[in-house]
Amino acid sequence: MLEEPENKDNSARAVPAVKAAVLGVGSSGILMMKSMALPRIPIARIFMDTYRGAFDDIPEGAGTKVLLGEKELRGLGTGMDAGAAERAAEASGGDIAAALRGYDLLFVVVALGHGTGSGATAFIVKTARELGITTICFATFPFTREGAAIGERAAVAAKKISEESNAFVAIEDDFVAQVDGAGINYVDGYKIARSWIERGIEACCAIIFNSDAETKIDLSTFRRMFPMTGAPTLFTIGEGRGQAAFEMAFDELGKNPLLRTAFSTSRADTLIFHMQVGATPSLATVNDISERIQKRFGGRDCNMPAFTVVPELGDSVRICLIGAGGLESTRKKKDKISEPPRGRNAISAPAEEELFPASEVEVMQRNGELIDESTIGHLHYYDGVNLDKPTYLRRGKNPEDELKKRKRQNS
Amino acid sequence: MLDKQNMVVVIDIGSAETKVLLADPFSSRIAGVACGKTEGMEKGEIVDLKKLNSSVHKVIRAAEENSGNGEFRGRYACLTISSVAVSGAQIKGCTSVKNDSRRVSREDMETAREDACSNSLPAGSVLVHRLKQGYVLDNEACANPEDKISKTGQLLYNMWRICAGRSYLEELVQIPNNFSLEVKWLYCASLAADEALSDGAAGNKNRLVIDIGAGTTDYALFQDGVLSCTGVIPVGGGHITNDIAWAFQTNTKIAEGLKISHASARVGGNDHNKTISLLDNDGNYSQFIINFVVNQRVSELFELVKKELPAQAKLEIVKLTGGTSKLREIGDVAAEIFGARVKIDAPHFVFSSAPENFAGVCEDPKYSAMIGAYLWLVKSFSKKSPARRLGGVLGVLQRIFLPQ
Repeated sequence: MLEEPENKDNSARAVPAVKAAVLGVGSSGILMMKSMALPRIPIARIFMDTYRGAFDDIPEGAGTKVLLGEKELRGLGTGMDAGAAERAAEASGGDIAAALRGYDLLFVVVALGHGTGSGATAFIVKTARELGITTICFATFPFTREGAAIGERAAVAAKKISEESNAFVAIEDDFVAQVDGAGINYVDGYKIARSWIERGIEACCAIIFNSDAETKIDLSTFRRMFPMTGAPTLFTIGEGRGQAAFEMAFDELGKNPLLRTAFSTSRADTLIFHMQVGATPSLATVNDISERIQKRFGGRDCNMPAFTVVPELGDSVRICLIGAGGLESTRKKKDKISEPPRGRNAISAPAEEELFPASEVEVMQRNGELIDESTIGHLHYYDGVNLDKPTYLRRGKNPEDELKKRKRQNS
Repeated sequence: MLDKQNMVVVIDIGSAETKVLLADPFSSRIAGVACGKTEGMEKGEIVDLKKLNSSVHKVIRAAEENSGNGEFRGRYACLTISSVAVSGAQIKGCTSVKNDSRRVSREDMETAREDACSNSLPAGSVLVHRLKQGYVLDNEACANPEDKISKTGQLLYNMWRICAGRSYLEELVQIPNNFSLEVKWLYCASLAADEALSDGAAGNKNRLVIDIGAGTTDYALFQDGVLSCTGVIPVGGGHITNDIAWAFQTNTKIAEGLKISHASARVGGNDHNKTISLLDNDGNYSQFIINFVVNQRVSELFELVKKELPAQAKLEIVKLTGGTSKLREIGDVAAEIFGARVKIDAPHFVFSSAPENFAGVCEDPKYSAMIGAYLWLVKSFSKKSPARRLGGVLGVLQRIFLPQ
């Protein structure tokens, strides 16, 4: 079922050249999206869920609502059944396409691990891709303590979604404990994850819509920043304040654990670099920070700096980087997969020479160290736990906090 | 005795390094040994067969070249296997005592054993080892129940069966095959490690042997001198390095350096005041953070192993071996978690005939699996009835080893 706001396209106002929307999938995705202010951005909102109750407190006119699988699930939700959510999305394919048609850019916000978000999102993103929409997906992963089944469901869903998205940003809830001040209370911890997503959307939209720098780009240039699906994404955020604000923010960019997820890269081929500052920065400052960012994080193919002046920030600086990496190797992988089978019988055994397929994975630089991309997107589970993720992260321990505690105890 | 051109090559393919030994087990003569970097394998899984092929072949070639001006060549191969594709399970065979007087006969023992052996394998698996654990008569372990009277009339035969994924083994066996080596033996890495560390000492009958490599950790538990269980955890020294890299958001090369030179498995009382500065790097690394992160991973690893052991397992000693066992204070962490005496161990054998570069191999715990597999071969060859030879790769994959 598709409900559209009365003034989806108000011709009385100037219509931006690029039409962008943020889409919340599932109850948690919708909840995250509702709490995002996203000021100064002309962006539409779309809500999709299998549970009718998720739309209850969304005011009329706030956005387009799509109830997935109304006939099959009757608006009652999936009961954490990702398979049912996928079928519901397929059954509502027409409504999904109608809701998405006309947009050029789509930001998807979803929490993985439960039902609708894990099951329906890949189909929705695929539909968007088929409509020619550039899709950037922000997905949160459950805490390790939420259990093996939820973790594995999230991992399976993430792989499918990342293969259909132009950019896929994995935000692991376990990382929240690593942020200063995250230990204050539980609710504040969740706010941090949501704020990261909001910053990412702001960064992308600023470069298209409302950068105070003279560096707005058009849609096709933006699409060039994320030219293909399935490539690893670079996404990081840093913040600094005071006299050494830029230095602090740059330092934090490199330390952010978002650079080390199974779907991320710490060096990009194309890079959007967005700063929020309290006052217009000097040209020398922008040039200096741009150069350092390019040296550290890449962006050799395309590097787009932009800034927005937010007077309320005072002497604080916030930097967000988002980009795509490993484009060459992703392209090669896709070319290999799309090669037609040889011989008359497509199902026959491969030729002898294919028993040892050539290793064409391009190695890329990460902090000067060559790494193999073959494991990007691969999540290894043992007894329901992703043992590849550092133990201290999964246990919610912050080594810096533990060090401070130890120093206090001994002082 | 084998001739120079038909030696046995013992190959231990680890996630980080491949160790190769060229030897004649008939005469206990070691001709060559080499160690080299493994590529194409991660956490015991083959991720790039071509790279793995060429990296292992390089090490085999090096072992042949090290063997007295290259005069020795391998013909047969013994592979150690260690991967999550390898799994063990307790199998019970059962029979009722047929005799009216309930006296256990040899035929009853054989029937119970065959019942265990006929247990079907998991789909897609190939049998690697069947290891006798013993008989149980009237719910009590019995070494030799022949001619004993049974009250319940039930005789059980316990066995530990080790299987491996067919596709994993087929890929692994191809590697020496592509070097014109005929794979005749497969040996589980955890059993090989135990073989290498075996010193016949009293007090070792209830032992746990843990071989911590770069990508995987293999363990074998013995109760009253009999194998109780084996297993593989897909965590190793590489994970410790990765955790350090995450904590400092640095690259794995620096993290590996910090682990080898400065890390300890326990946090010391004064670590919060120490900072490590590396000569070729501007970073400052807190000793506390290094040790904290390492301790989290190491203690989790031992907890995972402990979780796999039977609840009523008796432990007199825990032997740690493998490259990662060289980590400082790892034994102390193991002692806390297992509540038993811990020994960091390496093979202790003196070989009468070995090349010069073999010196030091026996003191390095990373060679435990390789040495253990070799010693097992020597034992097998020295018995009156050596293990049957089955032809072809599939024959090897269906090989049965039943110790006497």
